Amino acid sequence: MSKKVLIVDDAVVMRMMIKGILSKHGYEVVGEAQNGVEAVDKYKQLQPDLVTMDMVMPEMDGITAVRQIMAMDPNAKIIMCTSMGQQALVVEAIQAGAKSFITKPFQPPKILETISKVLA
Amino acid sequence: MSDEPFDKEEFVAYFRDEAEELLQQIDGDLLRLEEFVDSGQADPEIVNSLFRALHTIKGSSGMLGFTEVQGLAHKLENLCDLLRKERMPLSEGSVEFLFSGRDFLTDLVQAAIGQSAPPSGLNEFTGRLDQFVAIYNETSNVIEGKAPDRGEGGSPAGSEPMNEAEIAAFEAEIERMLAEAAATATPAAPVVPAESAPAPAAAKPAPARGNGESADAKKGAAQGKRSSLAQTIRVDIDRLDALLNLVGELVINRTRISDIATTLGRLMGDRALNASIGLIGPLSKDLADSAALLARTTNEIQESIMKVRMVPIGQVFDRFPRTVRDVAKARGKEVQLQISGADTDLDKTIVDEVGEPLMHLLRNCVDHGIEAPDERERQGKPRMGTIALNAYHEGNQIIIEISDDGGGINLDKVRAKAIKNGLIGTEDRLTDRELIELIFTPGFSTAEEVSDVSGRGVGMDVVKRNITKLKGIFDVDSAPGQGTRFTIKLPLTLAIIQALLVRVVDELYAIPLDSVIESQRVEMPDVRTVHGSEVITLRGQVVPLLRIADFFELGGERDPEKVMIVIVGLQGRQVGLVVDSFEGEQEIVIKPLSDVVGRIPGISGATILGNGSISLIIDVHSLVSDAYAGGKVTRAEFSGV
Repeated sequence: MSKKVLIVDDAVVMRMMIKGILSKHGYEVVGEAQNGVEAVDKYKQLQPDLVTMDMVMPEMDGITAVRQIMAMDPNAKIIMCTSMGQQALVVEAIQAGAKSFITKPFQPPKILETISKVLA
Repeated sequence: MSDEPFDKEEFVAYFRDEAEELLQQIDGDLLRLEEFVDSGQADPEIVNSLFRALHTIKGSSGMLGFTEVQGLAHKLENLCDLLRKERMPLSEGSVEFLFSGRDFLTDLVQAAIGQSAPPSGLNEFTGRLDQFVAIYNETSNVIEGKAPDRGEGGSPAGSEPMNEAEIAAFEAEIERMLAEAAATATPAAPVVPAESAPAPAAAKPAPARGNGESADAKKGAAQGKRSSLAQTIRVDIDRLDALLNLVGELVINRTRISDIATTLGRLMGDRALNASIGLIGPLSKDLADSAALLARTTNEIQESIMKVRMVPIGQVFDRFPRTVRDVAKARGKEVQLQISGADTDLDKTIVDEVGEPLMHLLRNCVDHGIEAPDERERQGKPRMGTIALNAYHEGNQIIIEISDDGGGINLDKVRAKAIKNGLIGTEDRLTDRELIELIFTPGFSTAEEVSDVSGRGVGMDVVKRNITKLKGIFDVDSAPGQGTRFTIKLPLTLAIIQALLVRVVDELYAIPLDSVIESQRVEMPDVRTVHGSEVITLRGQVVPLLRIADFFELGGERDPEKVMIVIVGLQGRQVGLVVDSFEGEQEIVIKPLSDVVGRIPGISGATILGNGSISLIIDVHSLVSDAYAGGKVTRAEFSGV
């Protein structure tokens, strides 16, 4: 069975792109969320195998969402989507339980590689 | 293969929509932020919102390889970050940088999607921005400390702010920090080291691919591929759901009808038809009911689809506060803009077209309508002028009103200017209404000097022409000393209209109902001839007649006893269209005439009627203009009647 992925990002373009890349390579994108609050709700509802999580979002930022999801499901697999300059935040997110990160702008092979590692 | 380049083109439309939305939001945020300048302390919520919007634009443009957009968004995000961390005070300077930056960003987005040339003066701007930010940057470790260096390095502004090497360095830095953290504390969860060695390796083939893609993208832009992007609108999901429900009903009903038809057919073929004849009655009734239901559902689908095309006019209004601010600032005036009815829905096509005329009217209000603060004070008005922008539905129309509490249109000036331009003679006596109408004459302006704000060679005539093109009506009211009100009435949609069908020499024509005032039968003796033109008197008003048969050179015989007349009106001018008979009202779907046919005077399009026949739609506007301006009937002759 293909792995279920939840994409969290406030940018439509980013969600569409990640979705496009993942769908083409056998992942099932079961949901999208555009802020941390939605992310936590949809995680509860959809129980995905993997989450790609943006850091900077309205309502609730990515790190807070990671904390809440990890509290709900300590086995959650979350990959942070980060931009340059946010090193301290990335470290914080990983300490909060995120499994890995990718740096925007990324190339398709990079995100696929990171995901398969985290899911392995 | 897993490394096939993904098709960026398909995301460009999303990018454009999203960027436009965000740039609009940034504008709103900046206007709110500006109010805090006096306190020197920004509202953190606004700054965070700005920061996020810029961050999103940066991220999305980065993914699409729009490096210039990405670069500038990054610099502005940097500035916001300084504000938000209170490392830079909120000042007029910083807000002005953000305003200009936002405008450059808008231009860069347009350029990136191939809709316009890259903006000039960008390098100069980013240079100044870098210098401005550098002062505050030196003392802090902000998003990216290298930004100022690059600006001074003379490379094109904002080009490739994040290359593969930098990303690798950034990721290595995170690895280092993680390792450090792991050494000092036990992490809560096992950390998968994010590709310490593979990272640079995986990044290596990327540059080649990246270059290839951006080259492709450039080629695409050069071929003008991007400028032909499909128009997309984002639609409220509830509306689409309603649409889908209706389609479901339609499908069910269609199945039912075909079942009935099958049964009916079998019965008809049955030799024992006589015995079954009693069953056919109820079945036909079923079929009739079903057909009625089908028709109703179809109508609802039609309405739903129309609604899908509807968007709130607020999309257009959103950019006006900024315009009013800029114009007021440039002219040394104090103006507040009050907006109401921003959630009024309107067809997307019309929303797109109505922005420019409204913008022009608003500029006009600020520039010519609202007086200077001192002048207002002398007149006992508040120093700050008010412009109200209001939209609401009325029947099948949307009404947009723009009113100001300024000086009103100076009719004496209009008269003087009109005499000077030779539009009217010194002896002509015109009503106030007629004088106001004169401002719609091409090239007419009462402003003493042409300002760089509204005097851009685009006059009220263009505004009126644009509104008329949208089948709208444009009206002006003005009271000296109290202000001016512009009223625009627009149809909710251009695609479907109510029409009166009329017959003229064996042809059916459709006349848009919104311009029909009444239809009546007039006896020939009541038709008079003035200066060779037929006219009738309707409630004391002289109305010229226009025989459709003559206009389209259809021939046919004239009824010697009576004429059937459809009175159509546009902006207070009425014309009686002479037809052979009235064939009732009907909702029609407008189909534009193809280029092969070309533009035909007096015809605005065609429609297909229920019985499959084609009917031409009469262009009321051109007929009315023709009846008045075509030399047949002039204003002077009328006042003499």
